[in-house]
Amino acid sequence: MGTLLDASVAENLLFRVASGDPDATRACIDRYGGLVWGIARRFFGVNPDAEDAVQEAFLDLWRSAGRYDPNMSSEPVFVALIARRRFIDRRRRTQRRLDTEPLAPEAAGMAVSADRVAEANLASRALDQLRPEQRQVLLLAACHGMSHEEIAQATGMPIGTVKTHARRGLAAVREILSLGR
Amino acid sequence: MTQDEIYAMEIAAAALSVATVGDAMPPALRARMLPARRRPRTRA
Repeated sequence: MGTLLDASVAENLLFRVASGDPDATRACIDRYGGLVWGIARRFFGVNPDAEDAVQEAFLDLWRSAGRYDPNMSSEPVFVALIARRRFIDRRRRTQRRLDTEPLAPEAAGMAVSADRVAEANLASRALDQLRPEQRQVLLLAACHGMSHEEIAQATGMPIGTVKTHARRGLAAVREILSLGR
Repeated sequence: MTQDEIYAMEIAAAALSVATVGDAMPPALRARMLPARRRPRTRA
């Protein structure tokens, strides 16, 4: 599991970003740069577009930081949500440039939504295919930023069992997602 | 499908990304994105 899942994030960087703290933007890039870059690589592969897309995603994040609600998701999940939306929109724009017939604005907007739904649906179906305990552990870690120890306390599972569910759940998700593409 | 359902799926997708992605950002890209810090002036 990545470091973003290994420990809960004690400090809320996005609130500081929203308040205009320049040190927070630097810290945010350091903490989430790998996550956003990794997602970009999955969308764009080895392509110069990936670097531009990452820069766009962080600009979007600075603008959206004030909307972050810790009751809705953990900070890393919010960052991933913003990045994925940006990448889906960018991929759609790139594909449209390749088309001979430009889409009408309202059709383009619907297509972007449809892309987001399709992407999100794929992930949602992958989660549905996991065993309930694996899904619970992954969502507690990813959505609530809980460490393995915290999940063990919250669920009453032994820590070793939590780690096993996390490891097997991740392996299953990777396999499901690779088959679904 | 309602907006709430779409949002819930987007959250699930983002959560999976957080769970499964662990790349390192290229140093050159990181350097390009960081705001330049003013160096303290030193007297010769």
